[in-house]
Amino acid sequence: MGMKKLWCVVVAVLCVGVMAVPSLAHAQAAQKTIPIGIHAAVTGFNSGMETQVRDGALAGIDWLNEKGGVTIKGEKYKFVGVVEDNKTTPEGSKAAAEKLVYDHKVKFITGSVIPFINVAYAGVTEPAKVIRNVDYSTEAPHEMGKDLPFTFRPNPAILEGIGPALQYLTEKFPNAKNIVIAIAESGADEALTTITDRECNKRGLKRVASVGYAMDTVDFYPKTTEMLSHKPDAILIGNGGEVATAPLAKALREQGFKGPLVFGNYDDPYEILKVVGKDYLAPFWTHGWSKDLNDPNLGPEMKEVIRTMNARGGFHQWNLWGWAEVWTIAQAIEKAQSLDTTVVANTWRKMKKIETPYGEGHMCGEKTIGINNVVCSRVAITEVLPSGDVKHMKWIPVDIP
Amino acid sequence: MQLFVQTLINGLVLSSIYILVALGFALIFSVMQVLNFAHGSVYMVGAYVTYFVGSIFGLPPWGAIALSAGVMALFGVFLEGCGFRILAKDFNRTLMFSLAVIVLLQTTADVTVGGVLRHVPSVLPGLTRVGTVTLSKERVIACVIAIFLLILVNLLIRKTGLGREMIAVSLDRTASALQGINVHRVSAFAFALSCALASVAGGLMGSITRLDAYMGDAMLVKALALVIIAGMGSIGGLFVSGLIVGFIDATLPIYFGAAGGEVAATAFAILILVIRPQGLFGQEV
Repeated sequence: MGMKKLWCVVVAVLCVGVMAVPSLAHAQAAQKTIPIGIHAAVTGFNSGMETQVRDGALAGIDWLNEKGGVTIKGEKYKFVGVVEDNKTTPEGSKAAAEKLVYDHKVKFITGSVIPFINVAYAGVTEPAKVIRNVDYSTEAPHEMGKDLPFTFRPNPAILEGIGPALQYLTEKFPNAKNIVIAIAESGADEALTTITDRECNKRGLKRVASVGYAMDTVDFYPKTTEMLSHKPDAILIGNGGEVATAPLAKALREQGFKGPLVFGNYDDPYEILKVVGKDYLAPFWTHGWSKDLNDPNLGPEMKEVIRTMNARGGFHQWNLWGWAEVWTIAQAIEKAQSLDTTVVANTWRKMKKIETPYGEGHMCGEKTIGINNVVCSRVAITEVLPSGDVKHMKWIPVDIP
Repeated sequence: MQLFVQTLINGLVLSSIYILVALGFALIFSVMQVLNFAHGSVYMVGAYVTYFVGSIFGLPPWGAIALSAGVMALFGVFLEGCGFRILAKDFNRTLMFSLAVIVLLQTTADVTVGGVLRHVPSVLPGLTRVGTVTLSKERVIACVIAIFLLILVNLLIRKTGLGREMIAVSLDRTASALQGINVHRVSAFAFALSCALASVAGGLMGSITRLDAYMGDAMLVKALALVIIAGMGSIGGLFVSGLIVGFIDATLPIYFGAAGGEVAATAFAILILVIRPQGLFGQEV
């Protein structure tokens, strides 16, 4: 009889346990989630950069969740990242967007970098009223503008980069007047040349030539020969990524160019240094970022990203872009107190204050691109000194009217 | 004048780089009559292996290149034994196999090591002047190595027993086997040598530019153009076809943009295929 009782107790406990599991699961399932699509090149020629963006976005999502996610009308939400590979091709871009929008039913997407990749999937997201926060864009109306009301950008890009880079040139090298711009042929050529001319004219500089190159150029010597034939005082690297700009910078130095290499883009100074070598690189500056946690001018938001990514295996420049994208989406959702993307978009573009890893920003772009869908904050001037040290020199606030 | 001299030197350097990459490709094409489209990917893997053996074992660049060539030679034997030998009689399947190898190698490199920019340490750091032109010493050494290897491979084929066996196999595989030539051994050796050459090219280029998982694609196109222009069976003809393509690529982009240069070299190769399909130097016997 005693054993029988014991068995009854054991069975009863087991039954309670089995019943409790679905309850627990139900409790877990009660945690509401907001999926964020991460549209990135996991494969293809731009995967090197965009896997870093992806990693930054995923880390940003975990960071937001640790802080409690967002609260919308009293309900707590956490974010979930959903990654789709755009393969760095227009077809892959469209397919990835379709999977995110129609299979995964996301309403918020981050990415991608390359203009023609972003253009390729706008046709999927805009009609579906899916908000996408792109990594990068130019002024071109087919990339961002009033015809693309659900396309936002939180990271500084070409519009914000060229001016400050040239401004620093005039401060450090006042006698440098003739500029050659090197342009990676990625669909941004015309926009880049227009912006460069405008910014040069403002500062009494002259663009003497634009030289285009393919991102997969085998040997840059023919291109750098062409650039140097125009006898520039400084060379502006307008766009591209380190996979091309690093060997380009190396070729320029090897061919005897000793003037300033001005990067109007956000290329990683440590990567450029690795390829070119500290004996030749300076004078050089970029809007890419120092990762010196001891630098008091770097900003607490940026240091938070660097620390977090270091703990996850290592910080890479482009982590910042992904992080900025998910963080700004979260702030817009919380401000709007809604998951309706039309409400979120309308609220977002009116925000006078929005936090980014680069510091406090505001929404801008109404006069320039027809819609206030760009987050304007500040760009860094990061110089590589002759000693080989990478030093954050200053922040320059930027605004796009 | 300065621009002309610089362009001339650019052309010579670029020609040497292309010859270096195309040599292994031409060897397989001539000996086994196999279009190994995976050659560009082998070149890329060779570059990465050079980088990693150098950094893991702390080897100097020369040691890393040599060790990597050995590793890739073994890989070549594996490729030949497990793939190309089995499919030797079927051109379509051989083609599909080489395309599959490309996808496998590129994607593996992309998702494992491709995320971070890497650069093979320079084999000969520093700059040198040629007249009024400055260029890196590593480019000069790449030129010297390219010409040296071209001569060496040519001598191997023309002057050694193994080379004569290769020629025999390329002319008639069955007859060669009947004459007692171990055709499998010859093919394996050809693949091993081809992959080793690709690896040396990759290691040198990895120090001149940078590494990425897709660096072999553009090089494969150049190698194909060189082999078409030179002609099947002509290793020595690579010297002339390398000069032609190298000079086209060094000069035309200056005047017609990057795309113009790419189109011109490929268009010239197509023209040769149309008017002289056997190439400028035909098949050497």
